[in-house]
Amino acid sequence: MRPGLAVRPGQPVGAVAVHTCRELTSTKLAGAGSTVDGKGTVPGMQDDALPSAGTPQSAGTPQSAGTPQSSLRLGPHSFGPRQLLVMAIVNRTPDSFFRPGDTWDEPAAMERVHQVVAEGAHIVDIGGVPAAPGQDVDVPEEIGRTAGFIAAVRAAYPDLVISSDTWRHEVAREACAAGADLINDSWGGWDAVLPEVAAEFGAGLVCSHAGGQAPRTRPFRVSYPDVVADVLAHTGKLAARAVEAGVDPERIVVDAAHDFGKNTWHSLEVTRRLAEMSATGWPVLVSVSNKDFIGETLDVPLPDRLAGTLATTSICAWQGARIFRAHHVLQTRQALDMVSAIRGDKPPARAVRGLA
Amino acid sequence: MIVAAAVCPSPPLLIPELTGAQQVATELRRACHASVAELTAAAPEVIALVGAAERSRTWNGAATFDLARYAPGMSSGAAPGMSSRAAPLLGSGAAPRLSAGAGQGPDPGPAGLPSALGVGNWLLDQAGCQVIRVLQSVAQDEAPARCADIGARLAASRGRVALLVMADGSARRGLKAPGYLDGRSTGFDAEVERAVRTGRLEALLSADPALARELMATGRPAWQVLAGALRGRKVSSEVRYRDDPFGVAYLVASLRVLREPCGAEGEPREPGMAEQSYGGRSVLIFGAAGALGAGVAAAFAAAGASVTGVHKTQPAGERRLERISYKSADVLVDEAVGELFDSAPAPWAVINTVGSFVPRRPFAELDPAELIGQLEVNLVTAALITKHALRVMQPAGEGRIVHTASRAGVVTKGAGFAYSVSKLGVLHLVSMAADDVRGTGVTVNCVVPSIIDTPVNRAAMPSANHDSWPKVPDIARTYLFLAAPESGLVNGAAIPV
Repeated sequence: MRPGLAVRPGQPVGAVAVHTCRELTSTKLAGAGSTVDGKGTVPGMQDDALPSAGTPQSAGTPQSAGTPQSSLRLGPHSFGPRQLLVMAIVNRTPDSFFRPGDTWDEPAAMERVHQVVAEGAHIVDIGGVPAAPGQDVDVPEEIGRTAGFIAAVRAAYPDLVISSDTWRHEVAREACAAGADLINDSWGGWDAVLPEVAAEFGAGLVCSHAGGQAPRTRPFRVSYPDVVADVLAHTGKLAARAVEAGVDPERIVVDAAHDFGKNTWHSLEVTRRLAEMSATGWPVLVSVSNKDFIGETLDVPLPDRLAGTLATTSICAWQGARIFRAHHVLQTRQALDMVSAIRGDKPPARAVRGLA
Repeated sequence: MIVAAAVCPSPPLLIPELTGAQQVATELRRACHASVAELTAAAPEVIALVGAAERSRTWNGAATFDLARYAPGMSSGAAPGMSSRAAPLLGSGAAPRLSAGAGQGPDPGPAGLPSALGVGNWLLDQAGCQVIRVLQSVAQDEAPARCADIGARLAASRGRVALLVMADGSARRGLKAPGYLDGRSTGFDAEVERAVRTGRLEALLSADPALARELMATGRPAWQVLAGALRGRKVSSEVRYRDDPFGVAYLVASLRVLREPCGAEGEPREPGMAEQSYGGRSVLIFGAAGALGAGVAAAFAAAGASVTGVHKTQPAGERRLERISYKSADVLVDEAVGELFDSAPAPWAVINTVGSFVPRRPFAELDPAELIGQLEVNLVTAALITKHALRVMQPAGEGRIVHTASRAGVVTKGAGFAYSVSKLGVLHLVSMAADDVRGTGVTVNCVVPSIIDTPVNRAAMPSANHDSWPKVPDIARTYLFLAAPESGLVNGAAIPV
């Protein structure tokens, strides 16, 4: 574990913010573990540097056992365990479930990238195939939808973390060649060659749990003796394989993949017990935005799932998740900033009430 | 010996605790409870519960169904219905978690009952069934002949055995279905339904395991156990539910097994077109005292149907047939038609031969009373009969409605406007009602005669060649066809005779 790698929590990482990030990357901050008492090198701001032997504990966080979280490297950046990152969803599809076709045109997709960067996204996740079954998208088509666009985003934002949402190694290869920093495989390692591609390009890899289901299939009467145990076993195995294949351990992320191979009860259980996943030490990504388990839990259609999304996001953040894949970047950013402030990782933006 | 059988699907969502605060699939659940209630009412000494699973085996009666596998955390106050009712089903070592985030899941332990048997057990528990149970799972890839053997072995058990078959059709019946849409699912499920509905269960043995697997029709092995268990037995069935509200085909049916094995070869006889398999089905015939109606009633009675004739006045003389019971009702009165349908269980089929004919009249002499009269007697009657028939048939999930239109309804030359437009209305009614009932198990069709050789028509057209006119018994065959259980695919048809 490398201590002292930190960026300012909540700082938008856009074209400008990235400089801050890089400057801080080489700066070891003092005052590790201090509360917000003004003693830090940045007045009023707790850094999230970690002593190498310590556990990143703040009062009230239920993440109490297991391997401590270490820093996470994505592209040129390194993010500390307490920093909560928003991964903005950018779909190059005509038929994804949320706002279908919204960013199907390349100019609209690029506009979306500008917007999410301005709203504080650290990562953009670019995908060309919807998760739901539907019209077949073959490898050349998926590459055509994503690789060129990734290159365009890379050209516009040299330091933005770009993630390629794919389960296919052929697509991942083109995406990485075009500048992707992370391969986001939501389908649980269906394509065993994926880690080799990540290793080859020095990219990161998301190791997820989809209950053994084939890509683009829906759960049908799935059951688990213990869904969380299954998630931990499977993602742990994938992460170990990735390390074996030569992927940088600091670039490996795990994802329980809510709704993938899971019914609503399973997704709720995974959320409830997310701390068990954080306790593995692998950085945890959660992808809950507007998903069906939220729709079923609240009995609300797609447009009305933001409140449920943010509540779930907060619960996951509280239990140690670090990357949050989201449609609503601004709102997610605010929810996460709130969690950071409550945990004591980040001071309020302005606190004068009662202090005058 | 098998004394009765029931077919139910086995989605976990049948167990209300699994679906959260809202009630879902209540109609399906009610139908399942009804079929299980009928099963236990057959006074069995043993209930054999059959369902597909990973492998073929029998299960210890003490085996439990672990709901927590489907709904971890369910009991944490989220499911108010979760009570002692369902608690016995839970594995002893795998009770639902009471608290969140404690770090360790329930001990997986030895795998509990597969879901098909677990849901079936739950249905039997709900019925308060105390009868000894035999729990038999059949491997998802078991060959049809092996499935039939398992069924035959269950049937050979001593004592009165009731069979509860937990089986689901294709899970690929729509874009939102668990397995997305596969166009072949409709035909596959229709074949299964037809076999169950007609009691010709041997047809289930020809369901192809590979196709069933592709269509995610998990019930295939269990249906074939059913076919093996009742091979050579005469079966009548009642379909209580058939729909696919979540993209999975659910079929609920009660199968009544007649006492003696039929036929020397032990195979049920194949019914021919001429004598459709009406065995005991109730058929309601409106206009039964008319020339056409009486002939149609006689044909249905001859085909083994239990016929009730309805007419404004009870028929007399040679129009009054033996083996037919009569009721009188004014079919122009909404309430009267409603009461008629409420006075007896839903009929299998409703045949409407009510109508009257008025000859051509130039528009310059149009009589509004005659026009209204024709619309009433030919169209309003048909509409009211359709209304109330559908009201009772749709909950039953099966039925046939056959109206009588006329070739005059589609021609604009020759016949009078009043008669023509009223029969045109019947054609329209049939098309629209057929669209309404599509996929419900009910069909609406009509026969479209040109002219019929009846005394009234002979008197009206004395100089015509009466011998060339279609005869009532021949026309009646078309009604028999349209109302037959085998004609479930024919809907919205207007057949010229």
